[in-house]
Amino acid sequence: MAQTESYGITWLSLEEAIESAKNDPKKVMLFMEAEWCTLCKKMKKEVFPDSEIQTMINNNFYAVRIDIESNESIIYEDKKWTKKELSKDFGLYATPTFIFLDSDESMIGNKPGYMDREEFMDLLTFVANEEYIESEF
Amino acid sequence: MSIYKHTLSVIFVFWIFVSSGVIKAQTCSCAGAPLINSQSLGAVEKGNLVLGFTGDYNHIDRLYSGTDELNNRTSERSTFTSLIEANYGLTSRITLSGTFSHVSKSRTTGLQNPGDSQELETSGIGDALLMAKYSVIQQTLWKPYQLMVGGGVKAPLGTNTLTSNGFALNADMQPGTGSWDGIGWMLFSYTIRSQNLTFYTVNSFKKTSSASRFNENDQYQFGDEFNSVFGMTKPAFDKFSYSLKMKYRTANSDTRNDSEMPSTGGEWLNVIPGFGYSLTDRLSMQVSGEIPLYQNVNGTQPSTTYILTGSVFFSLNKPSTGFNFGLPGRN
Repeated sequence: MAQTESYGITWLSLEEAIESAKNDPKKVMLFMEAEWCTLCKKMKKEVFPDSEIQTMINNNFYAVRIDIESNESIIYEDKKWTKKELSKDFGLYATPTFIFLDSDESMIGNKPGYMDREEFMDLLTFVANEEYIESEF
Repeated sequence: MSIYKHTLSVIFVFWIFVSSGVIKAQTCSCAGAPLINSQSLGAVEKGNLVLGFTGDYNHIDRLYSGTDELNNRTSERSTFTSLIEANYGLTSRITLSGTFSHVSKSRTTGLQNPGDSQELETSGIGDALLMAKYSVIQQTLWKPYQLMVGGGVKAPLGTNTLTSNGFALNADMQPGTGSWDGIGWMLFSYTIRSQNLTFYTVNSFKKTSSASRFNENDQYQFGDEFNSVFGMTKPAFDKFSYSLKMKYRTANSDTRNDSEMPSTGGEWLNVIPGFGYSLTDRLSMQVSGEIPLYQNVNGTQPSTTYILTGSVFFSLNKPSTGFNFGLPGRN
């Protein structure tokens, strides 16, 4: 899938994001998408262009887009995968799904499904502020 | 005569057929209570319970001989069937379902003599359908198709011995069939992801058995029947979806004491437009109308004019759309 459009968000490869998180700790946000996913397109069209969303992501996360059907190689946990293989190994069952990793690459959690601007901002705040330690989303 | 009684007794979750019928020589094969065709719900997530409530109204006021519509109809009928359906995901591949029915029938005869018509109404618990379905191919994000097969029985919970003024009512006016029937079922669907368009086919076969009615010498058996639905569905405007289906049904003639009953059995082709709406994450509704396109009945039979069906489905489990710790498939 061509990922030329950034929607005002700094997108990194997974390897770049993990490496960056080690040097300058931030959480990693994986946006699991597919070419045919209409709700993914809807988020890209209606939610990502919001300037506050963009600021929130760029300041607090390393953002990664992963096409769940891509055969492009990727390194995760010192193992080589295709993006499709990694998505299957993650047990993905819906798109879009947002997966969050801590700066040490450990898994935090995930949220499947479309979110509007407000709900997505709440989710980003919830993860960025580590509110998940004491409360539920 | 009463081929449609079959339908009455058995299976449906979604829409239904009915049989009518009843004056000797003009009994029907059309319609009555729905059953087999209602089994269009596919796999249910492990541990989840999906409940369905369906109302189905079948109006029958046309008279056919073979493929020809006759003008000298003498009766009209209607059947209203209420269905309660429970589907439970026993494992990730096995879904158990039970469908229970209540049937109300109305028949007006003597229409050839204005002012002298007679109306008869019956109602009661109908038959039930118990099935197990197995997901041979499970749909995933990387596999946009699924195949399910299933089997079960139609249990004769409804009575088939109602009388009126001391006279035995015909089989097609009874809420139940009295017989244990075997059911075979399969569903295949394929989704064109780029269009968010799903095509599917649901096919079912009912192998009937005979049942005694008012005495041991009155053995009645509805004809075996085959139902095939081919349809498409597509979501629209977030919470809506629309669908268009074609339904083909063929039924053998009924038999009574091993003798073939005249004017029973035939084949029918209907078109079914419909739409759905998601009220909440757990609650959805569907409405559809069914219009006959073609019928070729054995002998002379009343035939369906239209069918209206409305369903509400409730899922016990809320879809996991919240924040989940860990990976998606390992919560």
